[in-house]
Amino acid sequence: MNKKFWLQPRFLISSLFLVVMVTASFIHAWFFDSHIPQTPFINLGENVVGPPFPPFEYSILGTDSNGVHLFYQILQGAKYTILGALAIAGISFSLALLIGIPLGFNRRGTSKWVEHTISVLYFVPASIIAYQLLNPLMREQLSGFATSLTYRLVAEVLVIAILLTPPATVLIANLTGEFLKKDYVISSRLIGSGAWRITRQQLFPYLKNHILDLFSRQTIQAVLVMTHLAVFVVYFGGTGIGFGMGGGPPFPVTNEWASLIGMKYYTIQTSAPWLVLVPLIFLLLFLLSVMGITGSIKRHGNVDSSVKEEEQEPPQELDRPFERVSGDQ
Amino acid sequence: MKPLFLIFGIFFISISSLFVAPQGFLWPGIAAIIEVGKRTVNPEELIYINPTSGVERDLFPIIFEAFANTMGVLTLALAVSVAIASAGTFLLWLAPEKWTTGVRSVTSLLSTIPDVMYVLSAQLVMVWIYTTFDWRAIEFTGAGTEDAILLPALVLAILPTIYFLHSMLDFVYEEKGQDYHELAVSKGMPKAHILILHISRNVLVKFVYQGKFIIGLTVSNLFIVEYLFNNFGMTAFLVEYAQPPVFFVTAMLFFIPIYLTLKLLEVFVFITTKQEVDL
Repeated sequence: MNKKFWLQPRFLISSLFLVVMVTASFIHAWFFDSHIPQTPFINLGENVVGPPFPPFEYSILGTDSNGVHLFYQILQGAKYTILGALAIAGISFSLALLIGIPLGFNRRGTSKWVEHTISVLYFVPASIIAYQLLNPLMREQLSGFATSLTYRLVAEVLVIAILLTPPATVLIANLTGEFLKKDYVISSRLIGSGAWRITRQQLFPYLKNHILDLFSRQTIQAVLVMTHLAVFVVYFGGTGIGFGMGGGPPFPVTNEWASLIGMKYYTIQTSAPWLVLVPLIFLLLFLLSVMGITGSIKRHGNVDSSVKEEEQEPPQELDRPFERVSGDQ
Repeated sequence: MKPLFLIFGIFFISISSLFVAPQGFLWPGIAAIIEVGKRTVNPEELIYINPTSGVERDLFPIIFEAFANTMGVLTLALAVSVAIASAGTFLLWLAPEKWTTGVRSVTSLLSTIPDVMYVLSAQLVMVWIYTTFDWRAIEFTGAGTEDAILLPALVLAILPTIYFLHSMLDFVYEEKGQDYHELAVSKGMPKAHILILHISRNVLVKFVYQGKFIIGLTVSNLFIVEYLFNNFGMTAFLVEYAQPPVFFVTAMLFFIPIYLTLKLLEVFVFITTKQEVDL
């Protein structure tokens, strides 16, 4: 199938969604100064109607109980969510490749230690570790934030990326190990090609499908960790707390989508369920777009039909090889 | 060897909160770390401090109550999910193959949805049922001394069931193409017989590997579910009252049973299939 994958409808729609959301978000930030309108009440002749307003009545996507428009919050948060999650996935994925491939090449004594250290992550969830590390940094103190927004964003992205790297590294190391046992690779090594050449010429085409799968899975994991943190009131980029008498509940400084869900979670039992559903729908659309992009690259970006054959092998080879028990033992 | 790594890893995570302050990352000094170590080895004297009220309370024995709560929800959820997934696989095995491909694609789509969505939807559905039919058969939030156990366990079981079902179906259908399966069919064995006696043995090892990953996933969802259902469980000690010694003791108390269970699973697999598995 020699079709150009960037002309497939699935790829176009998915990337269109991402590009439009990020661009709109930046335009909102640069030209409108991230202004979020607030409608305290609406005068309808003799009635004065108060917020929260459901979607499509007086505002595009509804407002919360203070009259803050949800649509502009979503717009402001779009760039943080999309770029943040993609950055986390990209960093953890590159780290996994950088560490996993050399690890796969020399699997003599190092793998045991690495696997033991990584097994801690199976027992203590990454969200709890992230909470321990990020909570003190993200809470606003009485005197305001002590660090800049950029520092907090970079710290959060790095911490979550490092936490998500180990399972991906183990996966890549296992895959590389299995790959190195193939006949044509062994012949190449016998002829005398070095590790870098094998990696570039033979490993990358083999790993291409797995790499795409891994990237979309890391993005989903990143969004998951951000949502878990948001439920624990550690919002992406900082938790603003209004001190004093007029302060409301903690709010996310960046209005990122997962944090919006976390902040408005209590509203599902009130009469304003759209406050949680709308950011949730946007998050799901984001995940579907990422899956759409990687899925269409996987299906249409490959020229060889031999790749189809590779697709069936991996599920068996990922675990350690073991003897098959035959039926009549 | 491995348990030592785990213990050290958990200790490192417990003290990691000392490394962060509102001003950024810093080095707290060896004295602080040693202080944590000293307080950990005297667990009877451990106290936990409520950050808002500043009241100090003894950690033991109230932590056992929270522990029983959390463990109850977790084991119930895992048992339910394994049972439903096994039953589902069995039924689908006897059904036409088209149903299986349909179920597989549905489960692979569902497994990408973040877990918070399931908790959210479950709570929404319960609230809707209550407001529409005025029927409150089971507790659906923890409040005061009453704790919800059934509903959080059911909600927690949704995602593992989907994962288990997906992997079980994958494995079982892989075995279908094997030689010994053809032999068994040609010998005239009934379908159910083949599945239960022969295929399960081969699938068990691969399945147990997947199981470790799925248990990790379930544990991470467990904390969210507990928090959102307002249950009194380990989450409170790990998140709200988390000073390093408290965190360490809580984490150890929680993860030792899980580790023992995995070891037991290893032994069980070894006995039934004569293969060594390393979990």
